[in-house]
Amino acid sequence: MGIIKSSDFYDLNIHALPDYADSPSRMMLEAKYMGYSGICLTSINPANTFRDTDITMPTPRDFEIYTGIEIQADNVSRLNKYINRSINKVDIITVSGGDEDINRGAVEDGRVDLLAHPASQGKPLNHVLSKAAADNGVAIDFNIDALIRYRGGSRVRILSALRQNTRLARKFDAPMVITSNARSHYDLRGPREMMALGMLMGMTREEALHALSTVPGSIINRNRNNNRIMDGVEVVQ
Amino acid sequence: MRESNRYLAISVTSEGDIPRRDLVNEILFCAATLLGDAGNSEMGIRLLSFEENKGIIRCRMDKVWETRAVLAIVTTIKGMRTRIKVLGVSGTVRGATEKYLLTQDINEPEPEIKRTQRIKECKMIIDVGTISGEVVNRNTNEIDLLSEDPHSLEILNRSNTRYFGITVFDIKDKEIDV
Repeated sequence: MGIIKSSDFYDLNIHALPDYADSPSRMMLEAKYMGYSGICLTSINPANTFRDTDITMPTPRDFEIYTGIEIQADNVSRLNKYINRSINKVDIITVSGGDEDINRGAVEDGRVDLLAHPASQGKPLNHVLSKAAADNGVAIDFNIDALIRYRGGSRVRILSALRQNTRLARKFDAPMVITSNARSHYDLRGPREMMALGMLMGMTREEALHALSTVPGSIINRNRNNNRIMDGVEVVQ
Repeated sequence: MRESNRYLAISVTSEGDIPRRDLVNEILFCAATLLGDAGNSEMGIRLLSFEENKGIIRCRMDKVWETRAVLAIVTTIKGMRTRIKVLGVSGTVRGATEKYLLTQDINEPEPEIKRTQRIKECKMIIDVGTISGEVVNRNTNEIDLLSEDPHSLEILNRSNTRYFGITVFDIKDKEIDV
């Protein structure tokens, strides 16, 4: 069995009702069909409140649903407030990046798990932010929806920023995660298609594979099993 | 000299029916925008067969990953949201057909059945309110719901789709019988 076939794949940023048009159970069915072993349903709304989705459908075998929140803030002190408010309610804390100050606030906070779409404004990260991300264990997101939603000049800008992010993350050894940032089930892609798009962003095949399987797996493991005592201190077996 | 090829079995999920011609045009257009004419000419992409939303695509042996990327870029065909999933890759047409197109996977839903004639109202309760609308497509457990009140339209616009994607488990009173 090949290494790709034997891996478990996770997609850590999927949006469902009431924020976007697909119900959680539909997303679960579609993601299972695409070949994932777990997805994170992320609440995203202007008030930054976490809405727990109660799924009336039995979870399929070998499949897990994680809860998350994508925090949108316009300055760093607000960001801290929102992180404090949702830290104990969700499995995965994601910060909606793009703005330079917010990117910086997110990668310097060890409680954040994922900095989502840091290149959405077409600007790459820099060496300071990548190093901070590596030190604090904040994963840098490579969102494939930038490639599938935009066409032409804006796609070129975002793609070159993402390539720069790959180079920086490789140099400073920051964790990389590929997510779909899906807003409907038509935005979901299979794991191998996500890997192919990750390779367009400058990753090697191994890096793309880890960005979909082991890195998100370790984030989930870290948060689910209460292995985290405080910032930077974890229980290691 | 003989070229070595790979054959990708694909399945297409869409909001409506996709004619073969539009699918071919969109795939070639995506290949051209993503990789340019030069890159495209090296891939040798060709749609060999396509019926009932399943088909086979040929490409050069060393360009399988690029072809996957091109297929992943396809989002809309003639204004209808579309998603292409690669079911598997094989070295022969026969292998791809037998392994991936003829076998019925357990996870794979039944082919989509159009039941537009017998439309029934269907309500769904979510924590901010109710979404009610007409059932457009029904496919074992999966339902596409068309809703037209302003709040729902806002959500649909945000997600850039026409229908809500729900399942039978979301419906509050299970009166639906399509």
